[in-house]
This record gives sequence, structure tokens and C-alpha cells, in this order.
Amino acid sequence: MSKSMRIGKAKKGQQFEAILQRFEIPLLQYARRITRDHEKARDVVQETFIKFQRNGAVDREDEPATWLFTVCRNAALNVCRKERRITYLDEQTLESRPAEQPMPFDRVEEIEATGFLLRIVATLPPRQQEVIQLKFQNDLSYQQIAEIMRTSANNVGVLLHTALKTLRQRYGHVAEDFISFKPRTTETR
Amino acid sequence: MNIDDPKLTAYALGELDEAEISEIARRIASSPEAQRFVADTQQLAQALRSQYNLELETESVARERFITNHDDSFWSKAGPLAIAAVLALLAVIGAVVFSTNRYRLASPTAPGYFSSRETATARPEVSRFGAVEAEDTAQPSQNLRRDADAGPYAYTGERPFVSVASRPRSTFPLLVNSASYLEVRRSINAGVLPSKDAVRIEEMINYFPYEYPQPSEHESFSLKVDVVACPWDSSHRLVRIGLNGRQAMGIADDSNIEVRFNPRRVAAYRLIGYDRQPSSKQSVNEEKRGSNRIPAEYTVTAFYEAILLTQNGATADTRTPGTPAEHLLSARLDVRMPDIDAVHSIERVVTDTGSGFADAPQDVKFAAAVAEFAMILRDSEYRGNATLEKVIEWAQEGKGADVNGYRADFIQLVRKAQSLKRG
Repeated sequence: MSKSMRIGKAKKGQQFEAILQRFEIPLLQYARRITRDHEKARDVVQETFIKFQRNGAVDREDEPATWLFTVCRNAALNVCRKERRITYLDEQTLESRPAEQPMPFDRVEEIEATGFLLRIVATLPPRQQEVIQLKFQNDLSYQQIAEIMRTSANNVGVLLHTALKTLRQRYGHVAEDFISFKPRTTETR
Repeated sequence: MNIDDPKLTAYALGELDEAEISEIARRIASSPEAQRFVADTQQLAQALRSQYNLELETESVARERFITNHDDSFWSKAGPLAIAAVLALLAVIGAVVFSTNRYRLASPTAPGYFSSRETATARPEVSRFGAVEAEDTAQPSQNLRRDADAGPYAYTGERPFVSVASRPRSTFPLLVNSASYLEVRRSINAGVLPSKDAVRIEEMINYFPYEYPQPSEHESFSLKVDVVACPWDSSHRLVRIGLNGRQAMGIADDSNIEVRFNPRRVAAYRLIGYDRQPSSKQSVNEEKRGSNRIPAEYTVTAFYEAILLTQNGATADTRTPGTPAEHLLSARLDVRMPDIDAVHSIERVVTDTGSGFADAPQDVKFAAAVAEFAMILRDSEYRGNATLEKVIEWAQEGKGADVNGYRADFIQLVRKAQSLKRG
């Protein structure tokens, strides 16, 4: 990803700053989807970055994404557990739950500007949204996503496949003339 | 073949290992339907990636106010067409440039003063109000070194009031970070009041988006100046300067806004913030070529605190003050665009209509609340009589629509700081 941090030779503080810049918003969105609460999501992300700094994870040469999303996810799930809400992990309930509308943004104009597709993503079941975000916003592999979500790479593949299928269907219905994504009829490889 | 197969999606996304790839590829070769599926999936994936990217960019611009990473390839990509377009634009601007410069202030400084990169960054004045010498054109680094060997006029970490008689002109840069706010926020949310060094007033103010008038059709920038009673010291005036820019273009990092105070109206002024080197982000940017690309939509906000010249005022000034109808100051924007070797200027002449803080625009109230909050955190000697309660009050009055919730979050943060201070 072009906006990934140019960490290389930068100093630790800058490194942290860069990681914060890169991941703060994705993590907020991620945590908000799980906690369904903006404020709690903020706290969760805060906690994640504090742990990140404390663990000296800044020094790690490897991609911090897996680490950050894993810790963020656990913290968000803890919040849900503490409140004795239906846990996010209860897949049966969740996968079959009808589409809900937690918009990725608070502001309609922003969504408009951002694009239609993400609006449709927001109507998918939570775990499908989760894989979509991890895969396409954060460029993670099936394996990394599986690690974060404590599931198998196979299951990630199924979730993603199902999500994309629904997305394609709903998209076709809503906006046939939308420019950014038009299903093509031939392969151009 | 059955196209409802997760393997096909994985294939399209490059998630299969080599053995699987060749197997799937063989199956796809004989199925136009599968080929379509793979192509569509890749298209969809690409569309998702670019929309996520755009979303992140929108959000980060809102947060950072500036993209400080200079994009070297921008102009080479944009090519001559874009340059031609900007040149055409400039031709129009040239015809509309404001020339409201109705007066000349006696300048105590040499002719080269203006061009000498007198940006506000880290330009500590060494003495208190009334005794500023004209030698202040020194480079920031020299000033910092001067801090080190302290002496009787040790730099206290803040820009003091400056006599208008000795120096009517002040400048501040267009490029400002906002990293300090996140640092402060992080710290308070973690239960610790931030160290004074972490608090940079101008960065905190500029973390928030403000609604300034859109530039008119043929301009790239708009400049708005408001003057109201200073909320933390009602005998002073608070001057808010707001800039709104559009058009992504390369601007030189010495582009600035120059404010000239009318010595017949103002005894002394103080630029709020801008008293040290910008925080970490700047150094990430060391390799820049003295030019930054500004995003399509951004704002810059700065405050001056001004002490009016009064007949029997508290200042030792013996000059006869002008009438309130006289202008208070003029603000001039100079944007240098090195790529096309041009300078874009706008000037505003401002009179003080005597507005109280209660009548201040919401954005002014909110930004003033942020400024005061920062001053309290820094334990500034100019913080006046304000308290965190007041900060919350002003921020609430100035909250406005707060579409993205940043202002509500700020109010929460001040509350947390309040409980930390008590604790």
C-alpha cells in the first residue's frame, strides 16, 4: 500500500507517529463495528496503542497490522463481554442476523464522497464486514486475517467469497451506472 | 464449472499456492463464466481498495490539515496540462488581486526583512514586551542555540507581547502540523496530563476543521479575520485569522501570512503558539524540497492577542491613539508556488467593531477554547483568568454542528483533564 509507513531509518517516535497515522482510523472503524459504540471504540483503540508502545512493539520489524488488529479485536470483545452483551463471536447468531446499518461514518456527505460500495459493505453481517475491511483496507492475507479472527484461512476464504457475492448482487441492483466498479464481460489479462 | 466456489475468489485475489493455482487455472480456461467471475472479482477488489484509500485520505486530511509527505511524482504526473491550468487561473487571479494597502507603516526593519524567511516557527523573542530589538530576523536555529545559553533573558518557552512601535509586522507559516493534539489526547486518555513540551498550541488549534468561506471562483484561497474581546483577559482583543485553501498545488514552505498592526490602534500583540520547532512529523519530512503539496481542502487558523493603544492605558506608550474607525491591522497572504514560479497574494484590512466574546462566531469560540486549554496545560503565563470550566463552556457554545464528533470528543477530553487535575 502506498501510504504504508516509511519506517526504515526513522526514529522510534516517528515510527510510532507513522503507525498511529496509518492505523488509527482503520482500528477505530474496526472497533466501532464490534462495540457498536463510538466512545468505547475510541477507548479500545487508545488501549491498543498504549499496549503497542509499552510492549516495545514499535521495534518490531514485521508488519504491525496483525498485532494491532488482534489486540484491538480482543479489547473490543472484552468490552462486549463485560457488558454481557451477545458476544461478537457467537457466529450462528451473527451470520444469520439480518443486515444492520451501522454506517462506517457519522456523516452522510462523507459517505457519499467516499463511495457507494462502502455503504453496501456496511449492510453485510459483521464478520463479513470484518474480513472485507482487513483484506481490502489493510491488505492482509487470508492467513493473517485468520490469525486475527481466530479462525482458519479456509473460513476466511468462505466469508470473503460470500461477502463479495452479496456485494456484487446488491451493487448491481442499486447502481448499475456507478463508475468505479462496472462488472466487465471479458477478462483483460 | 461451479463459480460459487471460494477457491475462485481466492484465485482472483492471489491467495492460492502454486499447486492450486495451476489446477484452478486449468478449470477456468474452459469456462468463460469463470473467467468473467475472476475478472469481476478483481475489479470489485480494486474498487474496494480505492474506496477505502479515498476514505482514509479524506479522514486523514480532516485530521492532519496537511499532507506533509511531499509527493515527488505529483507534478511529473500532473504534467504540463495542470501547470497550464494553474497559469490560466493565476492570470485571472492577477486581475482580482486585492490592493487595499491604503497605508504604509514605518518599518523598523531592513528592506530584505520580508524575504528573510521570518517564519514564526521557533522564533522566540528574548525579552518582554516593549524591548524587542530589530535583530529578530535571525534564523530559528540560532534562536534555539541562544536558548541554550540562557542568560538573563532566557527564553521562557512562549512568544511574549511585542511592542507594535518597535515591530508592527508579524508572520506565521501556512504549513502547520496537528500531531500535538493526538499526543495530548493520548496522554490524557491514558490518565496522565501531558508534559508541557508535548503541548503545541497552534497544532492543537489546527487539529480541528473550521468553516471558512470558500475561496471565490477565481481564487485558490480565502482569508477571514475576526476581532472579538479576548475571553481570558477582557481588556485585550483576540484576533482570529482563518485561511481556507483549495486546489491541490505545490506551495513553498516559506509561504506565510503577514500581519501588520496599526501602531495608532495597537500597543502590543502576541502571536499565540508557534513558539517552537514543529513536532515530530516535520522531521519525517526532512528530504522535502522546500515545497509541500496542499490537499484540495484545508484550513489554517491562528490567533493574536492584542493590547489596544489607549489614551490613559496601562501601557507606557505616549502616542496619541487613533479612533476605533481606523483599521486595526492588515493581513496579507503570500503563497509561493515554486513549481510555476509564482506568488499569490491576498490582503485584508481589518477594523475592530468592538464585538464581545459572547457575539463571537462559533468557530472562534471553539478555537479560543482549544487555545486556552493548551495554555492551561502548558501553564502559560498568558493564560489569564480562565479555567477548565470556562474552556468547556466556550467549547460547548462553539460546538456547532460538529458533524464528525471531534468537538464533542474535545469536550470529553477537557473533562478528563479536569478530573486529572483534581486528582
